[in-house]
Amino acid sequence: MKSKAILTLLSLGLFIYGFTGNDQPSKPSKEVIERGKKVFNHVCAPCHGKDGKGDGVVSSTIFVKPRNFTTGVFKFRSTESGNLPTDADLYESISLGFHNTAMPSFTALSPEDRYAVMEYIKTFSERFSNPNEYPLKVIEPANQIPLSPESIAKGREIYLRTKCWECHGVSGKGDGPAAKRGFQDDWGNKILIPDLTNPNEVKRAQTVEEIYLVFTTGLNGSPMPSFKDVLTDEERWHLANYIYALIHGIALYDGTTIEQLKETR
Amino acid sequence: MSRMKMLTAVILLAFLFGELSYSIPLFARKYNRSCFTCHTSPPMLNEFGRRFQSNGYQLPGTVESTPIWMSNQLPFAAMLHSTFSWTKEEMGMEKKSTFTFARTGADIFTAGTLGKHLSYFAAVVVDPAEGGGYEAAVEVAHVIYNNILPLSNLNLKFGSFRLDLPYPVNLALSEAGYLVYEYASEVEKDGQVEAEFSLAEPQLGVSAYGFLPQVLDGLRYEVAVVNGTNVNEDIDNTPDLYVRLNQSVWVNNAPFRVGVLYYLGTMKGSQQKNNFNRFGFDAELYDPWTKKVNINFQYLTATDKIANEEKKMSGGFIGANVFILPEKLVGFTRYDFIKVDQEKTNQFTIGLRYHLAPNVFVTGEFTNSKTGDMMMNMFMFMTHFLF
Repeated sequence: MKSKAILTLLSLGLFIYGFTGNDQPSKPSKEVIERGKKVFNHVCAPCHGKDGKGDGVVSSTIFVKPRNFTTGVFKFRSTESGNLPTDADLYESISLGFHNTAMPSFTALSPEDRYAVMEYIKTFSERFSNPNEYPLKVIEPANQIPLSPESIAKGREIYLRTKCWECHGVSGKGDGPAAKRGFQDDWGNKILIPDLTNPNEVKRAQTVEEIYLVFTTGLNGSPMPSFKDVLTDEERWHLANYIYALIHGIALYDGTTIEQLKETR
Repeated sequence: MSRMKMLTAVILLAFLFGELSYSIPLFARKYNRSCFTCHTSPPMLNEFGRRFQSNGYQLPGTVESTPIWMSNQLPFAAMLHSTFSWTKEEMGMEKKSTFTFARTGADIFTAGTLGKHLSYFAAVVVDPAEGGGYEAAVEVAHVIYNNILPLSNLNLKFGSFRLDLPYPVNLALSEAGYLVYEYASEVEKDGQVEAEFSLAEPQLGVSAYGFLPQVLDGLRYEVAVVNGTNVNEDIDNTPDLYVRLNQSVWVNNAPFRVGVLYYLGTMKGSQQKNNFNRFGFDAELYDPWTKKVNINFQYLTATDKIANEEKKMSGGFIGANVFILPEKLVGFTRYDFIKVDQEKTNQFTIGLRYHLAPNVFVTGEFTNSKTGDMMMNMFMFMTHFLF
């Protein structure tokens, strides 16, 4: 009984350590890696490949290609552009999956398995064990601006000024002039610009904060840059509010909210 | 009762009892994913789909416990299919052509989690009946005790189910039947078939199956004890045995799979007793560069022993699926050959499928079949809609 309690505490400690070790490479035990490998080979390898190159047999029959883990480049992170993702970012990606892709939510996988898979995924790229990659520069979203018609209108103005429309289109439908030329990601895969008026096409935009993070961190490996040095923190929150309103049908593409439309009629 | 009311009643009744054998949009809804997460093109399963299916229709590696009645989604799905076919038959000097617009048929599915380690699957086929109206039949219905050992090491299913064939007949892209799987062993009474068995039909029984990566990475097995009567009434209560082993090795993340199957059965009719078996080996590979070409091969033999007479069958098929454009365009072709005693049949089929949407697709398929001096050419155009 006592040894079981100690083992549980040790596991818990190891688990928590995984989400706090952003200053240096984590050093998971051999058992964790072995467990991660076993789960990865059974659950993830059909798409991502046993060696994590993202060219598993399923990759040939799906449009949005699985991530290649060997480059250590990840789109959705809470870290600055060019940085590795945190362990929590990877764990979240495994847990939540990505909308409009073949990557499902694996919340039904045990937390221990998800943690082990996360550690195993990191073994595919040397970047994760390179001390020079650390400490990770983590973005902590703060001073969020509440969603309001004024903020949405400001966001629309920033959307036009920053020329987001060149790719995403004036109406946000992903039909901007640059998009028509077609895009590829860093791995040479074709990518579609999502229709921001269709929540089914956007990979991750459940909250304003998630959208804010995309503007702040950029999507590594894709043409979507970080706007951290181009826009102020406040501007990024306004832009995030506008995009959130667009995706979730709160506002029209010109920034007019549905409530404002009602008042004018 | 009008035909429309009859159809509605049949579909509602079918919803009460079950589900079927193609792609299952209820899982796409449940997991909020496209059909292509599990299918190369419905109904053909991809590697992830095979593991999903093996795990009791739950994501591989997971054990779900929320029963379907706690879910806010109805655990039902359906596929409607319409077919136009042109058939030309030749036998010696006799020639016959037939054009047919078949009435729309439906396959209805229900499946889901019943509790921790417990799930179920059922399928109902609703087909146009001869002379008008529709007829519905429960194709399979089984309970699965899934993931008894972790990572799908051991699962059990009870009820009516399809044997884990190398190339499941209900998951093929082509409508042309696999000749060797459809070959029937039978007993007769007064010249009429009293009972029959074929690998292509579902059976009643119990099956243990799963993956055994601890023994050998990529090893998959099934051991089933079934009554061997194609889900018809058992006339002899003699259990049959089915064993299948399948090993995958990976070359540049493309699977190369080899397997063997063995079926040993006994059928006791009121006048005849048939001791029969099946033995086969199979191989499947993907091109290791693009993984867009899938080649599949099966060789199968059968022996039927009734009294002192022995009947032998041998044959197989070699086929290819080409995933031309992901989630859009798929081509497929297959050559079947079978020899039953001295009679030979050859069948060639080729087809192309285009997805208008993940759950809506059109398929054109040409089949040529020849047995002795009898030849048949058939062109089919099909539309499928899953929801």
